[in-house]
Amino acid sequence: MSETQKLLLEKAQSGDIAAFEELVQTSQRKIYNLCYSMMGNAQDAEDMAQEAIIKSWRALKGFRGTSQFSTWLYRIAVNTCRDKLRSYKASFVSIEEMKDFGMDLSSDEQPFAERTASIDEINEIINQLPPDMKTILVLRDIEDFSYEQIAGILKCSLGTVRSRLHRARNKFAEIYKNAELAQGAARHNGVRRMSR
Amino acid sequence: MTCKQCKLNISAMLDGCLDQEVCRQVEAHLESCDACREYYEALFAMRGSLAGRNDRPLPEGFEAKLHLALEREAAQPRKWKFTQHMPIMAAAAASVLLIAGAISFSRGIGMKTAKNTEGSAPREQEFSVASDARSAEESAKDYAANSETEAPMEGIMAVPEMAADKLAAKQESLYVHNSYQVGVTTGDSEELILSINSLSLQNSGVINENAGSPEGNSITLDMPAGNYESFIQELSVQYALDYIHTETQDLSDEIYSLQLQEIYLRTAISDLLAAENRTAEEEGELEALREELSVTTARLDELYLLSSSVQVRIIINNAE
Repeated sequence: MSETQKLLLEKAQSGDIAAFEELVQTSQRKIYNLCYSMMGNAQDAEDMAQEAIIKSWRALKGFRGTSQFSTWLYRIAVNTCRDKLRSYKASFVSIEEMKDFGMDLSSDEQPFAERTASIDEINEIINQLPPDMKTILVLRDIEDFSYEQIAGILKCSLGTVRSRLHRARNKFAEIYKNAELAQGAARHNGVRRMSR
Repeated sequence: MTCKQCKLNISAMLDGCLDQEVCRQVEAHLESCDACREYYEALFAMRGSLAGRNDRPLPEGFEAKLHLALEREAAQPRKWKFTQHMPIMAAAAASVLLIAGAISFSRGIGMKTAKNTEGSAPREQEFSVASDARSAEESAKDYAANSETEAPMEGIMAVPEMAADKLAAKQESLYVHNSYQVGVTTGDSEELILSINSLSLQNSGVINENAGSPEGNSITLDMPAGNYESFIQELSVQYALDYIHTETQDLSDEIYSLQLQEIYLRTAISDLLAAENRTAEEEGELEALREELSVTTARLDELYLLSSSVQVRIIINNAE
């Protein structure tokens, strides 16, 4: 942590909002993107990102500097999203089901208007993963955190990161394969998948 | 190369940490193994599709909303700081009622005895008038005025019943003891224990006998009720909590009946102490009442302590 950051942290810990805002400014976009990848939509992502930053403000006095400040923030964001996902009681709704209910998924995706059917499919599979597997996959494969950073965020060893990531990727590949098979069977039966 | 080794290597390949020689071996395996090729295609499809999807701009107004939320937070007193004092406030409120009941009752008894013991100060009066905001002199005047019009008390039941009504009205659900069971999944239970030790020390918690040991994969902590919220908040910052189960034990009935008993005992003792010439039988009764009072107040203290504290049992689920 640089001297400037240390100074900002001290000020923030004594209740200076401006110092805190300056401190989180470099991380908030990353936090939002992380929440987006975890939650799968813009509204939840914004809510979770705001909640995570507020939580970190409340807990700021307890930050002892044993990890990078940004790592600490990401950990709070990940835990906030995981708690939220768990509160959904693992009842993940697939993109297909959401579309069946008439939800327009493209509305909050303007920066990525060029998204393809393939991305839909990948997102759908990631959303089907249990929260812990989803977390590690998002951190590594979408948010591109290093193993060391992930170990810091999840408070586990590098070995645990590797094994969890491997399990999550296995699960992803298994679902992907089944989805491909299902898609192939649907095509074979002349059934068109929606919006593909 | 086995399929298991190949998959592990594909994973490492995705992370860019596989040397060229092993890469060639993986490629050779993929040419001959459909299952591993499907695995490879799935993961590379994911990486290819999602690459660059982590640079979304912040939603419009994000920072302004955050600023407002932070200002609201800063303006609000921390909840736990407030609730920390609630049990004390509750106990204080009950004590005031208790004393008020005792005072109003002892006035009746005290006045009666004042007539009988002119000039000699009662030996045990600390609970009667000392806590009243008004002076003893004013109270005596009040009594003198009231004693002319009020009927003499028939027994010691009347005033405690009044106090009982007040207590019942005020005390409803004030005295409870909460026990929480919190599930935490972690890959490093030792670190979790260290974190909890540190959090609980900050929260003046007392770790029970299995502290610092993952025996039974759980840790039990006792802490002031007001500290629970901040403890859980700090814990949830460090770890995702799987669940929180709450069990509430209502202590109000027992506390309420003991408070009444305390009033009866104190007034009975006061009455006996006020008598000029006590018989041996009365002396024995006085001794028994004092003993009973000491047991009652000790149990009340125990219950007050229990109602102002919570027990938190953390169940550690190993993520490995």
